[in-house]
Amino acid sequence: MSTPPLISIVDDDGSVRAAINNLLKSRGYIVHTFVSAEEFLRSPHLNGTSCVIADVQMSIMSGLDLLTHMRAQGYNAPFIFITAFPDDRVHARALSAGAICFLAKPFAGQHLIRCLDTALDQRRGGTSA
Amino acid sequence: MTLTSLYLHSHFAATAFGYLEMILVFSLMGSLIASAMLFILPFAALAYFFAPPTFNLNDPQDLPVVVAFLVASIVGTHLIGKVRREREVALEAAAGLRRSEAELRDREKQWREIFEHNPVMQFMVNATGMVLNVNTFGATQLGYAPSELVGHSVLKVFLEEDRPFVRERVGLCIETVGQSHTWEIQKIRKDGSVLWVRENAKAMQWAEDKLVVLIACEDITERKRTETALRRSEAHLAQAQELSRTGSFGWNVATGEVHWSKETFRIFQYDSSTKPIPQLVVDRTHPEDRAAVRETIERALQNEEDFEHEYRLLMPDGSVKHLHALARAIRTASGDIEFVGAVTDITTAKQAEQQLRRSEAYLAEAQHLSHTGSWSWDVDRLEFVYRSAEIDRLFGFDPEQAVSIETIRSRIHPDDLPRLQEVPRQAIKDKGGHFEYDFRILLPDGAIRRIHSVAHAVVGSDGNVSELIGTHMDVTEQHAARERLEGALAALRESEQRFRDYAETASDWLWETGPDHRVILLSEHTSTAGILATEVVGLLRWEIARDVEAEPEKWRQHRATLDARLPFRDFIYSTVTQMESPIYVRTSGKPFFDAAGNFLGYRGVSTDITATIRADQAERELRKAQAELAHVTRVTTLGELTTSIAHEISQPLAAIVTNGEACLGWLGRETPDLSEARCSVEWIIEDGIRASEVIRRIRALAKKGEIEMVPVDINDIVKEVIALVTRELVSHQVSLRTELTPALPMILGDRVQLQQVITNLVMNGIEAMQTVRDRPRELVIRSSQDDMGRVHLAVTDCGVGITEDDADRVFNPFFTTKSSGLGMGLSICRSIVEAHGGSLSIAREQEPGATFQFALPLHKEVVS
Repeated sequence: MSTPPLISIVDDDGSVRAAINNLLKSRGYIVHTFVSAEEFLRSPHLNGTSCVIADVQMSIMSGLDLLTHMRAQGYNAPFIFITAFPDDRVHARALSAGAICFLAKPFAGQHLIRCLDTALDQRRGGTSA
Repeated sequence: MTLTSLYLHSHFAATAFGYLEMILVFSLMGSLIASAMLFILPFAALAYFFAPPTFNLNDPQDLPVVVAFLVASIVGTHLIGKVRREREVALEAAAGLRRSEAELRDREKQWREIFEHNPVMQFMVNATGMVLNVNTFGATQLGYAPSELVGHSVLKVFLEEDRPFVRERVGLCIETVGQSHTWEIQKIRKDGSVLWVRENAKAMQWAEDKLVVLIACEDITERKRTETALRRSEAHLAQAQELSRTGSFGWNVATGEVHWSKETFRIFQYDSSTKPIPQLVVDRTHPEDRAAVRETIERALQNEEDFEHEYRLLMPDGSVKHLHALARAIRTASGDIEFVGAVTDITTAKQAEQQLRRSEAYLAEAQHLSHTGSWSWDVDRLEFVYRSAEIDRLFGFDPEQAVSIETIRSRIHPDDLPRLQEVPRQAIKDKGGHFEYDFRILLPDGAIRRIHSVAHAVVGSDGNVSELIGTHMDVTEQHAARERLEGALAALRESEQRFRDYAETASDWLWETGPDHRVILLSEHTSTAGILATEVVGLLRWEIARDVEAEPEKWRQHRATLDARLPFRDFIYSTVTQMESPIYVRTSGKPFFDAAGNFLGYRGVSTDITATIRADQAERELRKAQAELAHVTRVTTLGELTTSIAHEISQPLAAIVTNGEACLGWLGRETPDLSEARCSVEWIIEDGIRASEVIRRIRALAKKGEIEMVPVDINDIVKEVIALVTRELVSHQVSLRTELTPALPMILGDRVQLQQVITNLVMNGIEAMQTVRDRPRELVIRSSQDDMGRVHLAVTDCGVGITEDDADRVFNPFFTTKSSGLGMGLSICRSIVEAHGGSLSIAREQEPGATFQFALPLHKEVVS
């Protein structure tokens, strides 16, 4: 097995951030967590990230803004959105912006793993393709 | 014959006869010598003129002729001489007679004049007293013309009362003719005025056996007056001597003659018949003073000078007299030295002096004791004539040391000095007067002495004020006492007024119940409450009350208290007035006992508290309504917050689920990682608690319940609110800044209601910034404490702000700028804050945006 994929989690809620980190680590992923979009964008892991799991509602820069920003910068890491405000409008915008999944909190761990697998496959395929 | 002889030619004869003729002629001339000469001359002449002597004595013829001639001539001459002499005598006698007649007339006239103008009044009266004559002087002196007196009784010029005396005197004169009598009597002038005369009278025989009385009167009025004055002044002198206890004396040293006045005798206690000699003085002199007296007198004698001394007398009865003697040395006409002097009994004065000295001492002592000093101020010389020792003490000076006016002035409180200086000015202006004033003395140690001064102005003979005499009294103590008293009085008045107010406004009435708890007595105040004493007396309290059945427990406890004979306070029950309207009565009472300790009943006070109860009820209802409204609003807010709440709940739920799956993941590994699994479970528990906390908060907000006033920290409440609204802030992209002052004092409040207020303000702020695009949306929550110690909370937004018109209406119920919402938010907030004893206000100092703030009193204030 090659180097495991790097997953970045961006959520301003500490417990959610810690829980996702915990879940993914238990599944053998390498995970980096960020309190805000800005912190993530400044981090050295921006480039090596295989998938971004981001909260939609964050102060200053929202998850959607982060996606838009990264695409604009040429980063094409897949995005999984999680939100406590499952809004259809936001859902639609997220998907159209290229998000793999849009998960409403609370979500099932398996659901997140599936989305993550999809995202990583897509990326692998993408990169291999 | 000659011519005949010539004719006859007998020449000789003629010549002889010629000669004879001539001799005879010349003999008429009188003088013998002249006659003799003339005798010779005819011969010579004849011989010359006629012829040489024709005869010759030798001629015998001629001899007879010659002899004849000679004889004839001698006889002729002698006869002629004799005739002539006789005639001369006769002529002389006639002239003398004539002369003496004129002289007599003259003399009579003179006498008359003398009589008339003799400055002695002359009266001539007959035995009956009728005036026969009076001289002009006499009549004039009495203001009459002589004619007015002559022919009238002399008595008319005498005083009525003197007339018998005059009659008697005239009679006496008549009886003793030739003897003169003298008397002094008063006479009346025609004008009624009186003069004193000394009359000298004598009766004499007048023509035809008539007796007349001649009276000469001399005006002695002046003498009488002088005499009277003299007598008076002598009397005065004697009296003065007696009064002044001053005797006079004279002592001619050379003659040894000594004169003492009556008073001198009295002073020395010698009989006035005693012949005064200097030894008498020595005898009486006090043995201790004798030497000194002797020395003084001897020195005066030796130097012939004035002397003055004081000495004592030892009187026969053993008493002591103090004398002051003063004498002047006078040289008499005969060149002797005479001492004339005065001796004064100064015993009284001495005693008075001693008494004065004693009373001065007493005065000084009294002044010292009463802290009163006296003084005298010379207004012309601007200095103190006199200052008592106590004055110095009052001013804090040593009475022994002289002090200047400036020093005195420096001790007077500067604020009082002008007033003090005004006093003499006013006195001079008013030309007298009485003054009372107060001033303060600044003592060197900084203490203040309060002085009450009383002064009066002394007016001199010129009518101007010459002196101010006064007293200074230390009233510091009195002043302090008065202040205390005034303070006490003011307090008393206040409390009196307070109790009067209470009494006038109180609806309290007094009652007394007997040992059986039945009402014995009720004060009149009950009538104001609508209860008639007559209807209540004799009843039990639970017979009067109308809530015994409704509240049996309350009455059971009350009766137990009464049975235990314990005092009770603020027992409230309801009853009805005589008009059957319900009233609430609050009553307090305490048992009373007789001296033996036997229970006699209760005494107490009752008050009609219907109004208070009603007000309380109204307030309770109001509070209830408010609480309900607040609840409704909260629920509405909760509705508004649903999304936020969902977020708050879903976050921990998401974490729980994720962690649960992670736990399974750790356990499902080939080698289960138990440590991670455990960690995952712990997080699950934490998040579960977090979720339930959110639910608890929401429950609290949704809870419809009683207001619970407890001590709270406003910062804690703010933090709870933030937890609720965080998502709301995030979703509206509002950044929150908190400036919370740490360690604020606790306030008394209902946690939920205060949360509601702050939440409301935050939500309003978020909403106000919704349209803001051009600037960061920032909400600031500040907590602080103001100068008055109240806790402040302010929520500031930078939104659209509030217009001036809206600012006035924003707290009104149903005011809203929102499309949704009841518009009750701020209105409820204000009533909640006010129910907490605080105030909610809007501040629009900053632009843009608005600040809503409230201030709440501290915990302890609320408690009190």
